[in-house]
Amino acid sequence: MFFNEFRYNLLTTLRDRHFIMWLILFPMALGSLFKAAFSDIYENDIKFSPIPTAIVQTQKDDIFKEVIRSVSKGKDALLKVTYADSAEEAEKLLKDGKVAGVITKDGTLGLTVASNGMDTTILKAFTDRYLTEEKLIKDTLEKDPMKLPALTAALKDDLKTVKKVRLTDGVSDPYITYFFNLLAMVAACSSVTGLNVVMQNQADQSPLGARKGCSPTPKLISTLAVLAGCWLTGMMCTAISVSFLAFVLKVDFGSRLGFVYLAAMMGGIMGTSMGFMIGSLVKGSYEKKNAVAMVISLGGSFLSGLMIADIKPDIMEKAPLVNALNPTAVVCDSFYYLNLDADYDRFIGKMVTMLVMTVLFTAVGFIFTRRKKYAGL
Amino acid sequence: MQVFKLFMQILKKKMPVAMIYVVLFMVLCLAFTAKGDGEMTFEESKVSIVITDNDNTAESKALTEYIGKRCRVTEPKMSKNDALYFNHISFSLTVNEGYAQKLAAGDTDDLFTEEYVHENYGAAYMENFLGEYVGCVRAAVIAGDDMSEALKSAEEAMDIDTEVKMVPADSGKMNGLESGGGFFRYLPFILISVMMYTLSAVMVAINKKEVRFRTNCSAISPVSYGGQLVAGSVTFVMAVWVLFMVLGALVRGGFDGKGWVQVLNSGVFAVASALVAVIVSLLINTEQTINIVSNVVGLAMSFMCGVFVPQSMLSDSVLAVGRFMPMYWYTKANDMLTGAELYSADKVAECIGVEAGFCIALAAVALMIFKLKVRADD
Repeated sequence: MFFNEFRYNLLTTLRDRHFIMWLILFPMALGSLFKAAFSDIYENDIKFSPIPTAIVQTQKDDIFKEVIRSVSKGKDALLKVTYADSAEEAEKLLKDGKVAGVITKDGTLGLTVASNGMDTTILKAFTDRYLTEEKLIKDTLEKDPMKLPALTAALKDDLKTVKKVRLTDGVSDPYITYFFNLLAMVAACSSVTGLNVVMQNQADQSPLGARKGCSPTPKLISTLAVLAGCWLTGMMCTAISVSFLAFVLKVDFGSRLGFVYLAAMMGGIMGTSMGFMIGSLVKGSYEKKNAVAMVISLGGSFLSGLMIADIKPDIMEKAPLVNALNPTAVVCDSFYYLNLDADYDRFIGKMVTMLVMTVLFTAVGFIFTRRKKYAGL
Repeated sequence: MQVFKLFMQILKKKMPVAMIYVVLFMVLCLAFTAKGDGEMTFEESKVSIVITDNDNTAESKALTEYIGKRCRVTEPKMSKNDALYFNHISFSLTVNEGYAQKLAAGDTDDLFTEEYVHENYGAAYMENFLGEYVGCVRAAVIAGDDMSEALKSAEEAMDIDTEVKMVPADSGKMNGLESGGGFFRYLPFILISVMMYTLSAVMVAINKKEVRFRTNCSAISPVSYGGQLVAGSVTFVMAVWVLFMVLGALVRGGFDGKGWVQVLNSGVFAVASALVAVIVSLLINTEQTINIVSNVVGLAMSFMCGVFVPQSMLSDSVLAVGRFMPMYWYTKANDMLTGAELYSADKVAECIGVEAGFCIALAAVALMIFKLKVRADD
């Protein structure tokens, strides 16, 4: 009986494939867009690269020239320098957005910028440092000229004061969280398939439900069979989404792709169960149930950072409980921890949370759909 | 006006479901505004930094105190990995044990340890800062100061400020804002989503085969039928838009000069959103599918047109596609009105004009699709 119901549910789902098709197309379309929109942002705007700077030097100053040359060479270069013949030419480069700032060296050192940001702050720090060292030399010259050679030698030294330690072997690009959120949203949207469990088994929701209601198949088996069919559909949709992102769009999920599949499929199951629970709790038409499912999916995705990535760390810091209870955030965090952490502790924690939520949602779904009696249909 | 009346009757029946979406998006709108408002006030870029002092000497304390004056020293409530990954802190600095001894001996190698997740501008700034500080202390010691004097001299020397001139530029990112903040920034996503979710419920009911067939064989012409549907949709949309504007007025405490232009901008965009929603509802008319399509359309447009990620950060190819959507022009106008881009009244008018042009084009497309559907039914 169970397998008959299960098989027919799968066949029905596959034949009425509009929704499933969109559930699969949805991450493909948005994933392709994310790939096009975000692939260069990390390299261009977040990861440090030498700051494009225009230099206008109206007076001969060999020390300044040497300093500029030293900070614009090698793999640790601070500036990417363009020499301009006049202040007007340099300002044009600035206004066109080709350089972040203009350093002018005439009698004194000046900086012209068009915006406030970390790049222009670094430029100011550089010019400040130049002026500081210039002052130190002048002061020493006034106080004790004999010490000048030692001082200039010390200032010339390329100091390696900082030892760098990288905390993760995962993908550093913070924009990858958009892909994690996208997969989490697919899982949450699987809740719409979960609504079908109620629609197909409750006698007051559909003619099929009414027919099933008077059939000899025990309701528990019938509901479980449909739910299992929907779980399989949810798992399939999330697995296809992961495959598309990983192999077609070449999104770098790191070296633990198998676990990404596992988390995504678990998310699909949880999302479906959430739909089953919503369907059983919300009384009334399919539209109303669907609206509540979409509200929870969309609201959860917002809180998880799909629309504004900064929301996620804010909630992690200020309201961690919201993050722990939001199903979309739980799915998203499982991918995130898998990427960032060297160990599996936090990932396992999220998988256990998903499992507990699935059991809870399913149990509530069963409790609110059992032993229904209808005066008339 | 039979079809218009029918539209309103169905709308009345669907109002509870529509209100669920309206309330959701109002809440989201408030959340977006709260999140976006922080960017309205410009602050000079200060690096957020976490400091661990393993040396605990007078020298290391002097350094950490001085860093406190120049940077934002924080204690994140989340793990260090998470805070670094999400750029809540830009730099994690450990003053290594033996810092004071090494400094006195003139040994400057590995005085500090930096833990990082990705290389960012904040880290580059701090590396330069620490190098400068240590260099200045060393120079002061060479110049004859003892260590406590050298620390003070270094701080004094580093307090020099370069004179910075600021010029306006056409390339965006004006005033430190990468995109206009406040109520109107995320409004296009809210408007297009609320229109699609709410209108689709009505349109699906009107477009049901049986209803459509019955209307097709009535005396009403397809153009009149389609026109009345568009009129009904626009009426509903304007009502929803007014609701959101009232919310906006409450949140912002009213509108000023440029604020009213933003209101106009959003009004024209609301009509364009309604027409997009009508077209989608005409093409897809199953209840199950339409919500997920609404998600795709709303999110895709918002990402492509610079609502969620500023236009100045998007690649040229993405923006080239975005130009064919009204949301791009809304965002461009809004960026100028909020100071994220150089303001030009002509350019703002041009953007709103393009949006109005999209409205006419979308209305024509909606009527054409409707006519084609009627013909296909025949």
